[in-house]
Amino acid sequence: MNPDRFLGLDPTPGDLRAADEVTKVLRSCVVALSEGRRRVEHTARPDGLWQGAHAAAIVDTLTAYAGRLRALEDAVVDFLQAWQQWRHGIAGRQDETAALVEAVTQLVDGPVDSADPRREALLRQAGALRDRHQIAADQTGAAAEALIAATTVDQEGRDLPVDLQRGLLALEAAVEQWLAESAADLRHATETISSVTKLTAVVPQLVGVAPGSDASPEALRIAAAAPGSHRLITALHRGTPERPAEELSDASFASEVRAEGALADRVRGAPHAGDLEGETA
Amino acid sequence: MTVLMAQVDIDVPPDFHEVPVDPSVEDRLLGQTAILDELSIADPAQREGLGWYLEALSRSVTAGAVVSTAFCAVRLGGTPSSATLTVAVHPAAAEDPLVFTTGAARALLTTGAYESVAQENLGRTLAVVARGRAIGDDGLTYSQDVTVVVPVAGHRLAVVVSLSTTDLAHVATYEAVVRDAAASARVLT
Repeated sequence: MNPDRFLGLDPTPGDLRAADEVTKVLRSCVVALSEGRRRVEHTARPDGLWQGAHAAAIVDTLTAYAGRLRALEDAVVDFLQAWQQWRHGIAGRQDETAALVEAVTQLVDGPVDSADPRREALLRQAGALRDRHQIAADQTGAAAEALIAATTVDQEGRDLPVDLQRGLLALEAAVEQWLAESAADLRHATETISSVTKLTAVVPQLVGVAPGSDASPEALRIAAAAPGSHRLITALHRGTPERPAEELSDASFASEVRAEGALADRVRGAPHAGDLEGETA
Repeated sequence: MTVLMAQVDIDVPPDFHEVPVDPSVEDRLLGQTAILDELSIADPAQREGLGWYLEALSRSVTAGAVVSTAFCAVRLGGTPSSATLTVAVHPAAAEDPLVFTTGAARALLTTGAYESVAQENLGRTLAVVARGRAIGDDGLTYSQDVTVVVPVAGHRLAVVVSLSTTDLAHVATYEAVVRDAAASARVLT
């Protein structure tokens, strides 16, 4: 179909396939913006990691950034809706153009008469259709202008990257200072914990609950300096038979035990632990 | 059971037996006897050996930043299970929790002793959660460790709680214990 040939103009130009491609791109933009905004909001959430005085400026900047992303997302959604309306309108109007071309074709098949009032009427309809198409195009253009305005950085507004960088640098400086003052102490504390843990781990072995029959060098070292060292070293070397599970109590911190206990309490009619909250002795 | 250490207090499940570290020998002996009774250890030789070891351990714990160590010997999932829980108090030169946990996470990372180090929000406090494991002579994992470091709100203090278990089937359960314990850290008034 070539509307120019029959109507002298194409009243409804538009590439539907290209319009669909634009729709696809706009949708992916909305998804990306939404996902990015949600990530920023998640990072700056009240129960997140950014707590304390140094975090406040960073959270404030991230919140403002999330707000800008939200505004941009809304603007793209608005434009997408306008674009989809435009695309839907193109299809309908191009159908009307096809009908007009068909009608003119019927006239051409008959005797050619450029002054045929029926032809004049069809051409007027084509002109009106072109005007409607142009109005729709202008509306879409206005929506595009609104999108451009939303994406334009306000030079007078907050410079979020600079604010974020300032907050992060302040945090970094405070962390560096903390590391200089306290890191060695913390590392020493964890090393000491590790040594004590190895020593304490011998106790469950002596109870017969943990694997390990050979006395550890650390345990023998403290045994050598302890009261009753000879008997203790003998005991450490002797090893302990494995203790049967039946001789041990169920762990109170196992979730399944908590559940069973609560159920058992209710079967017996005993008050549940949660029921006692708020009671005083 | 509540573990008392200096002026800081944390809540630990009652299954964990705190190694007595009282300055008085009599008090330590009473505490050691109570543990032996709670564990229903009847064999005289085993009682004696364990008693001597608890005493030797008490004398080793009191040095350095470690303020308490405890162990449990329980039935978990129908099988014997044990873990140790060790607590240290560390002066933290920062009241800002983010500064503290970021610094502490970096400090622990540089030790190379942990497989993973992460900053987390435990609900009541920010924390650093570090996980590591010990490999046995056979090349297999022998024990799993979870260390949680938390700042004590309103004080220039941090608490380090470390749990180690050879029960690899219940690491998640024990991790919940150490997280809860660390999150409960508070200064006694």
